[in-house]
Amino acid sequence: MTERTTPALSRRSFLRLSVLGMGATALAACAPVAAPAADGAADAAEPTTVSFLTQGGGETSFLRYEPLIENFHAANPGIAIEPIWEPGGAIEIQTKLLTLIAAGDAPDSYWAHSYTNSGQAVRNIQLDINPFLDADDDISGDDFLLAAYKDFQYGGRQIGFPRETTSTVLIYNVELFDAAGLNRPADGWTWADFMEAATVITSGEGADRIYGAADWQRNRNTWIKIWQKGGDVLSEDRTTFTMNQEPSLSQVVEIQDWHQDGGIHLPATVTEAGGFSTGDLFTTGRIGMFPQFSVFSNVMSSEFEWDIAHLPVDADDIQTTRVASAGHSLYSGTENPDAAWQWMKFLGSEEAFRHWVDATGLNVPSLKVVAANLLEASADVLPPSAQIMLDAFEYGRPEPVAGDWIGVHREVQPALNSIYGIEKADAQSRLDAIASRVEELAVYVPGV
Amino acid sequence: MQTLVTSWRRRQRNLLWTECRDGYLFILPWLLGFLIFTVGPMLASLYISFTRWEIVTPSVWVGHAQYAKLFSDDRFWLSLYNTSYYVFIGVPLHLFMALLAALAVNMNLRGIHLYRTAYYVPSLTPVVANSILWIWIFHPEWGLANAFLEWIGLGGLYWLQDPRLAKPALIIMSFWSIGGQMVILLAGLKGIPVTLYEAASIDGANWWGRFWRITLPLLTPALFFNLIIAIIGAFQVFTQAFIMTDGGPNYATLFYLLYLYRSAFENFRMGYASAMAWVLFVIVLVFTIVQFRLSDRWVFYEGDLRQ
Repeated sequence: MTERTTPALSRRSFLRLSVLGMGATALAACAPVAAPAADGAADAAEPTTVSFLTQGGGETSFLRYEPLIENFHAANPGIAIEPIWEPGGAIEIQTKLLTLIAAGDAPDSYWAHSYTNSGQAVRNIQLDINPFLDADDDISGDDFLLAAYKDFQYGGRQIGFPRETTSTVLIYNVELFDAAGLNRPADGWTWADFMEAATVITSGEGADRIYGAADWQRNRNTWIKIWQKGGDVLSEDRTTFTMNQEPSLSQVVEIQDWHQDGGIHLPATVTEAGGFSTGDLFTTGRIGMFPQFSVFSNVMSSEFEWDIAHLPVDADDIQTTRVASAGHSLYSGTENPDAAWQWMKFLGSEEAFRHWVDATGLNVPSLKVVAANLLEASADVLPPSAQIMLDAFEYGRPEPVAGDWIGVHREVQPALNSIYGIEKADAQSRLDAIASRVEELAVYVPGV
Repeated sequence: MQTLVTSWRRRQRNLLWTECRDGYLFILPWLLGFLIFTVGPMLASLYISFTRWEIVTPSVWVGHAQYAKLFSDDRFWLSLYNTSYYVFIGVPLHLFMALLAALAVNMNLRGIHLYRTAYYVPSLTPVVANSILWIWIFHPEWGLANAFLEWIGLGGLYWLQDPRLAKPALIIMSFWSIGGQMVILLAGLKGIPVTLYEAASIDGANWWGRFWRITLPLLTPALFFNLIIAIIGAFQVFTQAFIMTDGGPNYATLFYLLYLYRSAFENFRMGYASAMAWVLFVIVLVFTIVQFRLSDRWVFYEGDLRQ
């Protein structure tokens, strides 16, 4: 019987090596990702890959981009587009974008929205495409609807191109207007006319009650009314919260009055409760009119005649509305700016816009030449007065985005919910309470 | 003789060492995963919590500034309050309901398996689906909850729109998924020897006496396990508020993790969010330790000899 020999690796050595190995592994997991090679030189035979983060998870998203990716590659064999599909909207795309940047795997290009643009812009996440635009005669900012194009500007930089855009208009139930003997909203329609119509339409009790107006409790719609009267969310230099001052405050108070018990406005609590959108309620004939950005899919199933109108405006008012856009941006840290620009330019081309309109439809294409014949191309899905939503771009404006604009939304909407909802909070004190926090978010300077 | 003993001891040590090494090698895949995907990010987040880092800006060491800012942030305290409310009111009620359900499905009735399944299945459905379902149930105009209240002659409530009711509403909703705890408690009930009940009955104990003196004490290990898990889970409540209330109304459901998520991914404050994560970790750790310490006083294991 032979005695076992002592193992070559002692227990102490094994444990020491294990601990060292585990420590190294753990630290390796936290280590920053190596910086990319500066020259970016690639094998000439290999196409340059441009990654593209965009909305995914639905057939519409794939239809929007997959054929374009193929067409682009056919026209530019040296560039391959690698899509990164991410379900969700602006926040989800931003979350994915940040995660990819943190992982050192940032996309070269990505789908962007005006809602998240400013928070990214103050941190220089988007590449300024002005130098490319200046050097390229094939595409110009003038090709786009101005208000939508402005949605992708920040601090003198052009942070992307808009793909589609919306202007907020008034959607109304024609049958309710006609049945009540009211004039349909038309040019010159004032707030007094609006109130008269809303009051006449409002009728019934309980679950059968029909409300003259709805959806003004949303911050984006309250803001339009404030803008009309010369007020704003922030001061001109975007450092001071001004919703708690005149002329903004009185507009909030007026909308609060609409929400009083027995008032003309659908209780904010109903739509806030979820499950039913304002569009759902409109299609059941329970709402006379409500402001909405020019996306009509939620009211298409209405079995009655409906149309759109400009928002009411008084003689001394500024005629305005809200414009919001989605589009595409390039990541400022892209290793392939030239190739990414070619892709970006392609996404801003007439070919791309025509494809989107044909394949899936767009709210309003932000490319003028395509937007111009939208009414003809999409007549079957647009209301009779669809020209109004295009006209609204002439006087509409983006939100006064500044700093961490999502945070500003997050502060203002709950305050308005308290004012308009069942709390019926005092507008002045409730808005005063959020002023300093909004200002902190609006003037936020990263890294300081 | 001495040589034989030494040799035997050496062989024992070698055998032990070989077993240890093999054991570590067997658990190595898990260990590596734990180190890379748990310990690594934890250490990274600890470092980040002492920096100002916004992903796209270079991280700057700021010492304990993020923690100092945290404690002067009223929104942080509000989110902590909301979460504590959910934990300290919701968890006991949740456990109580799970216990009631376990006692109910422990009865010898025909078709009891169907009842057990019916109570358990909702806990298998994803929180997202549950949340959407309960948005409808709590709808002030068309929801089942208000329909029931009106049916018994009470007025409807603004469940998710009234800041005073939003948290209680989410606690009520949590009863929907008591199935997991119910099954564990049911297993605990099944493990109590029938002989104890028979002896108690012979001694004249009624139902309450049997429950209080036998069932509950012998169920305390299962209750303790459920309590620990439920508290840890409740501190991490997120999805319901994210989907159903978006933190409202008036921040009534701005739970800790929702605020953390917004700080990180909407406002880019990774250092701040990491500090929040570590504060939550310490809170949960402290509560867990306290519970373990207190468990000696109320958790009884079979075979325990106590006064």
